[in-house]
Amino acid sequence: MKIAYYPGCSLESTGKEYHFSNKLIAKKLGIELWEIPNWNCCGASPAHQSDLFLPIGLNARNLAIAEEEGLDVLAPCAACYNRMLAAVEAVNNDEDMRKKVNESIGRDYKGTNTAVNMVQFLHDMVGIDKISAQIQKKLSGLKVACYYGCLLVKPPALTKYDNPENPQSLDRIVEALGAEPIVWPYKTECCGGGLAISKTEVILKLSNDIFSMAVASGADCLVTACPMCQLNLELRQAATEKEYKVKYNMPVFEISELVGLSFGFSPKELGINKHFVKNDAFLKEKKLA
Amino acid sequence: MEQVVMNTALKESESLLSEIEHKSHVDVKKCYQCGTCAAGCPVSYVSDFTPRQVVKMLQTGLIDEVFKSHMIWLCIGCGNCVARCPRNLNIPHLHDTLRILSKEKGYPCAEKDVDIFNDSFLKTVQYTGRLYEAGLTMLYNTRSGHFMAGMDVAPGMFMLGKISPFPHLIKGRKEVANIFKKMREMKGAK
Ligand code: SF4
Ligand code: SF4
Repeated sequence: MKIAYYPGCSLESTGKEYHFSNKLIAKKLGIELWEIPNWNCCGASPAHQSDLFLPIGLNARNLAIAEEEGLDVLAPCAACYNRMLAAVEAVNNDEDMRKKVNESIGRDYKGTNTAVNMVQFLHDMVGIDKISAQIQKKLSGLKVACYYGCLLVKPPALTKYDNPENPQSLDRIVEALGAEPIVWPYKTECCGGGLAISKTEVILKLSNDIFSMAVASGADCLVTACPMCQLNLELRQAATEKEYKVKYNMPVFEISELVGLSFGFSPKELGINKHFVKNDAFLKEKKLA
Repeated sequence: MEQVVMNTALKESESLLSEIEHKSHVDVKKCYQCGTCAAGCPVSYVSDFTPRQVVKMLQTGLIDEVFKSHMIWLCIGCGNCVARCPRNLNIPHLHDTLRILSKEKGYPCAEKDVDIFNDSFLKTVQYTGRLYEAGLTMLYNTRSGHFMAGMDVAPGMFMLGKISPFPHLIKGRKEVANIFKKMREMKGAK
């Protein structure tokens, strides 16, 4: 299987380990990730908050390059994934918009391809069976809170993926790895990533809500499929603990990292040592390192 | 909020409201004020109005107040509201549109830092093709006056090799610059 791969800006910087683990597990699964040459930033929230045209143009350029190759796009960042879908929809529903977009990017984007997120890719396109076939080490004893965040499954009319209130696909993958996905109600609550710099206090409250619920529900770690969620929840965890006088010390993994551990890769190969919440002791205790 | 005469406000705001509805593709009349959006909104606790109130204000013609409100700048686009709205109103897109229009019409922005952050972010994309984190931090901190913003976490990022002091210049920079150019042309054409 071959798919266009759009790392997006975070996977080249703050979310490097997600990039490593995606590439490692893809190789093991026999999938070719064709990185879109000279891809540009999707514009994230600043673009859609500032202009109605800009986010469509920025995403259409990347989509067009993949379309020329006849490929759909795997976007491991939930925000990039969402922005790409919005661009596909805008171009397909508005002929005038398509013309303007194509004039600006100097390409002929037809809107025939689409974007998929990491969970959707692993669950629907690769399939649990194919993943299970590669497992060398069951992640037994790991109690995982599956955190989908907001943009993987919302807005539902756009993503058309899983259930926006109680999604299951990530849980199924985690279960297949031998870990226990816990039942908890904050799967799709927002962590506030977009306001991390300009309004940090909001993040602290939202992440405190998320971690306290995860702990109350019996989780010992979180798993995400978005570099923004992962970074935000780990980077600001110390500040959250200070603000709310609690101690969580709870690792937040990417789904490809857990898959990678079960495939027998070491934490170092997967880049898990680059996390902000130190997890060596945790992984040792769980016999995963 | 000062006193307003309702039917006058409604009449005066008619054309502005239809511009908002046309550009956002959201028909505010459809909202029956159930409050579901407000109940699940993660930022209404720091805001002046809830998303339900914003829609109500539009329905009653209080557009000035909406343009000046914090809510349109604080909305993080999480999609809780639209996923749950029984009338299927795309509130995050409505907020995006309101932000854009309020700026175009010269309203003062209620959350300056959010605006400066967005603008600094896009500047780095416009010139390099991708986000340039260190450049964004420098731009944002000097323009917002929060010189230490992000400095608590920056050293850790550098140590882990997560952010680079240098921008990543892509080959398609000209194409990206063209997208920004087209955006400005379209703004000017209105
Ligand atoms: S959920 Fe929808 S119908 Fe209910 S108040 Fe909000 S916008 Fe109106
Ligand atoms: S999209 Fe905006 S208005 Fe809607 S729930 Fe999220 S933050 Fe609130």
